Amino acid sequence: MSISLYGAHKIDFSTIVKSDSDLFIVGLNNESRSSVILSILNENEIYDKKIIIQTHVPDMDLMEFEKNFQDINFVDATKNVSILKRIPEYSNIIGGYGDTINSVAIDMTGLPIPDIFVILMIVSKKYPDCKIKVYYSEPYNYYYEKYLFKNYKYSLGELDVIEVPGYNGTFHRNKDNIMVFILGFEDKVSRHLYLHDEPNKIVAINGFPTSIQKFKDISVINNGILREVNFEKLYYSDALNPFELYNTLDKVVKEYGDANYTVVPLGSKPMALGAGLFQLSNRNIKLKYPIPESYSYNSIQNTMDAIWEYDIDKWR
Amino acid sequence: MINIGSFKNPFLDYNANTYNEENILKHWYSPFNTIIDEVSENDLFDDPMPYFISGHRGSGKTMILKYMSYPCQKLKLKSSEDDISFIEKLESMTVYVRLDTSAVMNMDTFGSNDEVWKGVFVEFFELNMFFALLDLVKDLINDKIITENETVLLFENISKLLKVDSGWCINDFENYLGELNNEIDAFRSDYYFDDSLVFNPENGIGEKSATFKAVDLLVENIALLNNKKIVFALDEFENYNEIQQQYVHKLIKFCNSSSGSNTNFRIGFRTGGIWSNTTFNDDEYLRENFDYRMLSINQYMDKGKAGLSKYKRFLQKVAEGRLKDVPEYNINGCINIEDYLLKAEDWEEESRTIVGTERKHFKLINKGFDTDENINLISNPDKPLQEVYNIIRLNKGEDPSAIKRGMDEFNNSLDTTLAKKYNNNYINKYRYSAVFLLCNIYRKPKQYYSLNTFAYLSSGSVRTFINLCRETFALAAFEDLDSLLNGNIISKDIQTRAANKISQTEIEMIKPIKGHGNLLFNLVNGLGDEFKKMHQDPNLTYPETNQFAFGYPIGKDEERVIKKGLVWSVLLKKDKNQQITIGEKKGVIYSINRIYSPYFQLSYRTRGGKNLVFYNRDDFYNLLEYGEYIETESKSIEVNENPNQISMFDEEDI
Repeated sequence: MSISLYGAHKIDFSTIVKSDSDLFIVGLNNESRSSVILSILNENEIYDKKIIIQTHVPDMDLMEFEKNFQDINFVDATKNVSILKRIPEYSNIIGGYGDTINSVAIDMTGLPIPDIFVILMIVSKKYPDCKIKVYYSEPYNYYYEKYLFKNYKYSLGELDVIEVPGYNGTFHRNKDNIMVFILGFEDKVSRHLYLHDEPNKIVAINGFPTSIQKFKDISVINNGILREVNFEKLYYSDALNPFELYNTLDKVVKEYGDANYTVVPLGSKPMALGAGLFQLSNRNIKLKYPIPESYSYNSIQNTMDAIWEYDIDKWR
Repeated sequence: MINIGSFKNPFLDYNANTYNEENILKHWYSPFNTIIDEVSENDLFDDPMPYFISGHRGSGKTMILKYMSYPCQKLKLKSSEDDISFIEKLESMTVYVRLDTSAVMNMDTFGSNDEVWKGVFVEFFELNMFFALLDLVKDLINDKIITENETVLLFENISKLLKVDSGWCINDFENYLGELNNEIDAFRSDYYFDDSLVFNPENGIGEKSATFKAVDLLVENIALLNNKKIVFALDEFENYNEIQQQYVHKLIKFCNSSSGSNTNFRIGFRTGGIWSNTTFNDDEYLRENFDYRMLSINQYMDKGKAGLSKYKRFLQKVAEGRLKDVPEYNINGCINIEDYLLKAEDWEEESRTIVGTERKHFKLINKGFDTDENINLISNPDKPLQEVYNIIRLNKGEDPSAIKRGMDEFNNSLDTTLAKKYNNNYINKYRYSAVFLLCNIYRKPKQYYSLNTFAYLSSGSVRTFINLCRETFALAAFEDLDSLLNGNIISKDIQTRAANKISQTEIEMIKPIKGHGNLLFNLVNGLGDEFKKMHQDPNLTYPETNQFAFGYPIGKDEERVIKKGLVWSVLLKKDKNQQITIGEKKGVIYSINRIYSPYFQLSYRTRGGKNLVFYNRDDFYNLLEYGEYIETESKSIEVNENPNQISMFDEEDI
């Protein structure tokens, strides 16, 4: 039976101000949208929240936040580059709050996708009964240096394809290996993952509807690997609704039956969140992700469309 | 008119990993006695010595290992539903094992917890082997190779070995192994979040070497399996880290030909993908031809013209199988890939197209030699490549009348000294290089087409060849499907576009390679650019230079980058050592994968003679880090005008 959960809302600044979350976990990078929620708290002088800031951009100026917030911790991904090294850091900080945490807000806008999964896992393990809300500030548009197609480069340099820690699923040698690509914009990444695993079947999920409708076409055009292998089917799922993705994955698994599933969340972060939630309910699924050596930021600087709030308590 | 919707690209779906036994047999064309001649197909099944099978990425290792497997051999040999006599034809029973790649590689993540991951790997590996063996047992029971009585006894013995309840059926064992597998997966999942966890597997299959013992139970108690070996065909061994490989090496040491073991191994790995020959025990090493044999699928590449001809025939057969599989091609009898691609490039024709009615290449003539009389003597408008060669000779101060006489005698196939000299230098040294020179002068891209070219570009990777064909057929179908299905020649332009596309894609795939992707990208780009410059040299001093070597003893760091490049087939290595460049000592010769040739506009052939040599670490590191070749140390080379130039080519010339 499909689980239909729709705790996805567009919110305004006042919702953040009124948030009852004890702990805010935020990722900060060069894009201004990554710090929107933290800035709202700061500007409204809501300094009593516990804050964890992850940053993977060198020399970010965090002085103001550090000065104002009473209980603030940092996870510096420029020092601990490996996600595996960041896990004990997150565990120690999140676990260190004891019984004081009843609700957690995760702003995933600036968090790398593996960190979102890992944080979700740690919070679930440490505080199984707490409320969790996830926020996402949607970009207004992306920036393409020369022309639209074939020019989107999010990941730079080497890619380390990992099983997402804690989301490795189970593998049975006699079952078909089905790779579910949640499509991103980069052919190089999906091609690399395909060559890494060489699955028996490929299923793709494209983000649609999305904030800008041409994205769905760019994804298909740019993922050339899909034209070179016998890929099974292309599904569509709302790029901004993790619960839609959850349901789509549920549909895929029902359609293809008993198999080893590897889900690769290369699309939007809300879709990645949906994949993470689906894995936490279906522990046999494997999540894989290519960790790039470094990132480029392609959304147009200092612009933002809307803030989304995903209430994942209903799921839990 | 044919509906484009019905078109199926015969070269889609190129992955042996996804093939079941029917597909393996359908697409099987034996590389033995074709491109592999040091070992026969029978040796692979029967030789009691373990084999390592090396090959470039996409060279067909998985195909061979899967072909060996019992389900494939059964399908091939079994004459009827009840036939069990086929088992007598099999000296060994092969079990194909491919571990979950990402699981294996993720056990390599915590430097400080190596011992934990070592323990997890051993259990994981043995469990997978045991599982694979159980699959074989299941098949053998279904095929009535194992009788009912034997089954009961075998299961009793396996129960004792695993220390589980007696009376289990095959499903019970499978479920139990599944639970043990889940136990490992759960530990792998939780250990990242709590490294105080202790790995204490319920059964300890690894610790008790249960798979080897189960093999003995099988071979010694099943009548039809007596004296047969159980062969584990392990795939993708390059994904195992050094410690993981050491464990497997230890197992191999136990089953060399003199051990009398019932277990044997065939291990597939990408060239360069074995990290050492050590085992778990400090003083124990694997020794080639004592403990194992090494088989290179790409051995033909070092066997000159004959090797290349065999390889082309092999590729032709592979393509034929795919074309036959699509009714539209099969019905029309259009199943010879050479009919679509042409046999080989026609450089003379290409040069005429490049030059057209222009005469720009005569500007290459040095001042003092550029008289109308000289130009008239060395001209041959029908053959611009000969004109380029004549210009080079003229620039060296040779007598234009003698050049003309040599050209005329050569063109008239006369058996004269001048004609022979012309033949040796023009055909074997300058002709192909002159095409690149003309491309540069007239700003035209070099064409890459024909079966011969695609075979060269594939660099021993059947998969790359299939990729080239797939892209060519896709473009051809888009332009004129009727023509394609009628077996007409695919235009040189389309083939060139396909080659460029695949070349570009392969270049883009270098950077993501974990470990040394950036360095390899710089290396390939730096070398490619440097070779390109040499291809554009107006004097063609070192024609077709596209290999490199080291003139100093390289350290571990360089070795790691090179090995990574070999594993991913970014770099290729000559099997046999050769002179690192003219007049120098012998050493290892490397080249960049030939599939990059269209991207850099280079010759797809490799040629002996002058190579780019790194004489010190700084030169090499400059290239690795900045992608730029700066030669701080060089040695002068006397260009050898030896009439035996033909020996400088290690491969077929057209």
